[in-house]
Amino acid sequence: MKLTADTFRNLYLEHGPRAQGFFLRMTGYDRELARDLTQDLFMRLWSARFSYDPKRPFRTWMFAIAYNMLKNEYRRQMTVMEYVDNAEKEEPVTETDHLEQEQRDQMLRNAIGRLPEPQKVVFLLRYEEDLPIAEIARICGIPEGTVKSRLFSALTAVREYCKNNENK
Amino acid sequence: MDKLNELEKESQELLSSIKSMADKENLEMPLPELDITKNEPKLLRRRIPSWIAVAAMLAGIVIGFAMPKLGNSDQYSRTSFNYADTCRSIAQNDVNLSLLVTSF
Repeated sequence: MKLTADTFRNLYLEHGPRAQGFFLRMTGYDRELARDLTQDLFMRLWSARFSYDPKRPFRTWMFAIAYNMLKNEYRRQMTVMEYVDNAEKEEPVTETDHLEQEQRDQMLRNAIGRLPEPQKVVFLLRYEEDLPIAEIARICGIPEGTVKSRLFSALTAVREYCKNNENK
Repeated sequence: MDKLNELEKESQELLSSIKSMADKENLEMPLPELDITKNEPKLLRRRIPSWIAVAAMLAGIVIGFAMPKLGNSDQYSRTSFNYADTCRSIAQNDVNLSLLVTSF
């Protein structure tokens, strides 16, 4: 598959929201930063399109570059993203019908937000993006066994957090 | 890791809630505009087809060989003589390099 401008625009429409959502959750719901990173990511992908191997899934290539960008962003800021603090700044829900659902979503956001960055990445790629473990290992540059152990720790922590906060 | 599979099975409801929350958030946030055309001129310059480069090189070689012969034959002979004379001077270590430069 040759990455023409039209093909690339279609890929952007298809995968852009997922990349932006990934950045959003990885940056602690910093919407501006997530938008900037998404734009930057796709400009980089476009510039590097001649090095794209069509035998590999586009999303693996996309998330590999996205993850590298995030690592650079973490280094640049020299601080852990304040996921929970920012998540709490979200606009309050006014519709009472959705209140319970929103409270549950907020609890899930907090649970994921408390994960250490290496666990959070594999957790989001696995359970939100449905990527196979082998692809996650390739994206993060770590062995599959490490991905599995991080997933196990992350999932245990999320379950624990939800169990302790479900009735609060 | 069987433990992970077991834990995933036990957490099906939780994981599907997380997935649907993420899908909802992905759709809620509009995508930024993407202008990929501004990269085009630079990329076009970089991507000159190889056959154009080869044709230009061959044309240069042909012109380089043909040009002296196309001109005045006397001048061509004089140029050859000057060139041979300069080579002989260099061989005899009998040349001022600054003059050599100006003579061409």
